[in-house]
Parts: sequence; C-alpha cells; structure tokens
Amino acid sequence: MSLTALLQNCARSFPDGTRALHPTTLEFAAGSVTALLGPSGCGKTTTLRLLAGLAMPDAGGRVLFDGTDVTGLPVEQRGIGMVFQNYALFPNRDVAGNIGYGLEVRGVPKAERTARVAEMLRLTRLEGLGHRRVDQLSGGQRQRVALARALAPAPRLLLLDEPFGALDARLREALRAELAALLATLRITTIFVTHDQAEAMALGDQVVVMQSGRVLQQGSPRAVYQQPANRFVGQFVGTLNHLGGDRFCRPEALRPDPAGTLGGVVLVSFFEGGHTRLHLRPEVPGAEGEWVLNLGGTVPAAGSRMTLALDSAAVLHLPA
Amino acid sequence: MSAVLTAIVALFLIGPVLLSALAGVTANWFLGASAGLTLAWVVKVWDLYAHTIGLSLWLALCCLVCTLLLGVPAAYALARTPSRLARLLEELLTLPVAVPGIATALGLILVWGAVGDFRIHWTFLLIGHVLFTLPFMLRAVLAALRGAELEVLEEAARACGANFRQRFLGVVLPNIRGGILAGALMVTALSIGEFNMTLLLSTPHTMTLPVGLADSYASMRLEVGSAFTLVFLVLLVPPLVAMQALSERLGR
Repeated sequence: MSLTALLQNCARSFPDGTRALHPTTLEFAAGSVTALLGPSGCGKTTTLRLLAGLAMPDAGGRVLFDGTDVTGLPVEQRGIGMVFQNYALFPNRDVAGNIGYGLEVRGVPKAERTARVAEMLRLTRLEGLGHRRVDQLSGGQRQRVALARALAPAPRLLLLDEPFGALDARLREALRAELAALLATLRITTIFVTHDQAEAMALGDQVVVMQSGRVLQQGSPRAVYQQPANRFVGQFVGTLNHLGGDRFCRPEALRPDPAGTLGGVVLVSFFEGGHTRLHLRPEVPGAEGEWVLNLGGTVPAAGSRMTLALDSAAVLHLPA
Repeated sequence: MSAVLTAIVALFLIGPVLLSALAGVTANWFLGASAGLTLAWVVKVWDLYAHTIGLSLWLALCCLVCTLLLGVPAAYALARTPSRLARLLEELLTLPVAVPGIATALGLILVWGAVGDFRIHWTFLLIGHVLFTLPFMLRAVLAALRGAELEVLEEAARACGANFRQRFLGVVLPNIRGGILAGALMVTALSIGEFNMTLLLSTPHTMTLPVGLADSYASMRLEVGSAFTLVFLVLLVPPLVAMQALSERLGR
C-alpha cells in the first residue's frame, strides 16, 4: 500500500539563478515516516513540493516512485495525498464534501464515496460533523479534515506541509500523538515538513536536517541527536554545551558530582515541572557560551558554584 | 443631527426624481396638481417607447452574458500570469472607463459604420456596451481571485487529483461567485443606464431606454418625459434592488 519515493539529483533554482535547493538525492523507504527539518528558507518545503509535483526540479533531477520516473507527471496525476499549511480546505464545500473531493474527481460512484467518507470521518474522529461548514470548525478539526481529505483516495504517499503550524502549543502535542497513532496503523509512506525539532523527533522515524538548500544529515531521531553531523545539526535538534575546541556534549552528559573535574557557576534556573533547567557559566578554559543541564529535586541557588562530572563517552566532536 | 443631515441629502438626491415622476401623472404640470391626475401620459409612453425598454433589457442581458464569458476567463488568466505585461494590462483596464463614451462611439462608427447594415443592428450597440462594461467585470472578478487564497485552494484541488476543468468549475468559480455577482450587477446596471456612447451609436431602429428618455424630453411634452421616468423607476429599480440583495446573500 505504500511506495518508495526517491529524489535523484534534484535541484531547484529561482529565475535569478539562486538555489532554493542544491542537487539533492534522498530516499524515503516504503512505509517510513520522514521529517524534513530545518529553519525557514532551508529548502524543506521546496523538497516537499518537488515530491508532490507542485514544482519541477531543474534539468537533470528525477523523481521516482517505486522506481518509476514521475518527474514529468503533474501533481494531479501522481496519486499522492497532501495536507497543506493552513489546510486549504474548500470553503464552498462542507466537511464531507471536502473529504470526498478526491473521490469525486476520480469518478468514484456516490454510494462507495459516501461509505468511504463515513470511514474517514470515523478514522479522524469527526463523526457527526460531515455537514458542518469548514469555517465553523476549530483548528484541530480543520487539520483532521485536511488529513481525511488527503487520505480518502488511499494515496500511497502522504505529504504534510507544517501540519501543526497553525495550532497552539497544547493542541499541537495532543494532535501529534493522534497523528503518530494514525500513521502507525496506516503504514503509508509519509513525509512532513516542520521547523519544530520536537515534532520531527516525535513523529519521524527518519529525520532529514536541512540548511540553506542542502541536506546536512539524514538518520533516525536518535542518531541525529546522538551523533549530529556538525554543530548546526547538533544545535538545531537539541542543546549543545561547549567544552572547548570542537568538543561538545548534550545537557544529560553532565551531572553534579563532588568528585567531578568540571566547574561552573549557576546563572539562572527555570523550574519546568518535572525538572529544573539550569544555565551555568562554565569555568573551563576554552568553553564558550553557557552550559545547560536539567536537574530533578532541589537545585543550587544562582551564583553558587557546582562541580560536574562528564560522561566521556558522550563527548561529541563536531566540526563547525 | 446626523439623521436630519441624511434626510436632507436623500431629499436632495431623490427629490428631483420624485418630482419628475409626479409630473408624469399630472394632466398639466404648468397648471399644477389642481389640473388633475392622469395615467394618459404613461400609456402614451408605453405606446411610443416600450420597444426601447425591451431593447435595453435584452441588450443588458446579452452584455452580461458576453462580459461573463469574456471577463471571467480573462480575469483568471490575468491573475495567474506573473509577467509584468499582465500587470500593465491590468492597469490599462481602467482606460475604456476614462475615455469619454463619445470618443469610443466615434471610433466604433469609424470602424464598423460602413460594414453592411451592421450600423443599424442592435449588436452594434452590444459591442459598445461590452467594451464599456468589461473592465468592471474584470476588476470585480480579479479582486475576488486575489482574495480567498485561491491559488492554494487550486493546489489543494490538484493534489486531490482534480484536472483543470474540475478545479475551475468546482473550486475556482464557487469561491469567486461573490465577485462575479458584484461584477454582473455592475455590468447590468451600467448597460441599462449607459447614455453617452449609446446616444451616438443608436439609430431610430436601435434606441435604448436612456436614449428614448432623452428623445422624449427633447421632442415631447414635459409630462411624457416625466411619465417615462416613472416607468423607468417602476420597471427597473425593483429588479436592481432584488439583484443587489441576492448578490449580497450569495456572496457571503
């Protein structure tokens, strides 16, 4: 039910010659969920649009679905499902009309269409809202309608552009879990764009970190977090503490230890519920910036000096 | 205070029209209402000018059909063309509105005047009316196309598998219907009321309502012209108001 998508040597240039995407080759395995992660302008949306067929790669680039070249196929003939940023629901159609649109344009008979729409309403927990106008829906409901509309024709590739971008933080987390569960049942090849590393790590079984039109690293969330390819990736997917030179560590690699070899002065602490986030000024030659570490229980007051031990296996050597 | 001001302004605007309508039902305006009221003038107007009313309505309808068929696709093409030329064209759209109707009419007569009997055919007027009203349709539809995030909606329709015909009919048109209706209302009202250009384009065979109105004022008793005004108001104002109400309801 799902396909392997491949971008082969795909670049995308603006008319003035600047590159939105440098020549890129990326494979998305059948059934995998991949997050395209990066700051705005990094080329992640361009990558998604190339896969969708909403943009064409520069000459030489190819898009392959299960080995078949689809580069020349426009989006409407690629058989994909797509969720747009802000959802782009059709205001002239009700919820059921939106969800059934992809079936309607494919000429699916009405009875079959109605059954499929009902199934999608159930799957996305929108039962009873079929005849609601889309402007009467909450943000979370709109997102689910957009998802149901994309999934109704049973696409073999699902593309999502900032699927949580238009939602507030609390709703985001609830819907993230919901989407993760849904994707796990569907096992459909999914690629989504996000600038939120927590979202990318939570939903993706693959993360592609991008910057300035280039892929910096592709790997599992764990691999990208634990062995980032460079400083940018390391900083983008989490917090880095500088130990001097090219040596860095994650906050959890540092722990308070009276016998430790590293020292720092507490600058400020933020109580975050389950733990407290401490910012320290490192007392280590060559270490720049601040250190961050998360502690449970009571924490030293600002201004006090801490002695820390470092898990040497967790030291990262990162080029600039 | 503002209510009083509104009333004064309204009276200033509507007063002359009402007075004229009243004159249409008095037996002799110069003797005043004391001379008695009559519908004789209205009957006379109907006998003399009913065909101008018919032609005006027919012309407005044909003009509306033409501007819809030409204007909606043209506006779509303009909105979807990113080139500088398209923007320039958009700017030029106001030109036919700014050029005096008489100049346009002279141009049309120069071009078509000698082509068979075209000069005395009603379609000759139609060309003038379409030329004059098309920019209004284009502008109204363009404004609707620019709003409503239509480009994204179209992309969404494409991603759902819709071909051009399906998304134009199923997504684009329904979402710009407010603009189309506003344009249609404008075109109809302008076509029915157009006088400047039509005065020159019209012939005794092809006389529209406003030209007939001018003709009646110029060549008949004042009461006949006034009765014509009355007929005009009774016949055309209610449908125009109804259309406006309809477009507001559907446009939402």
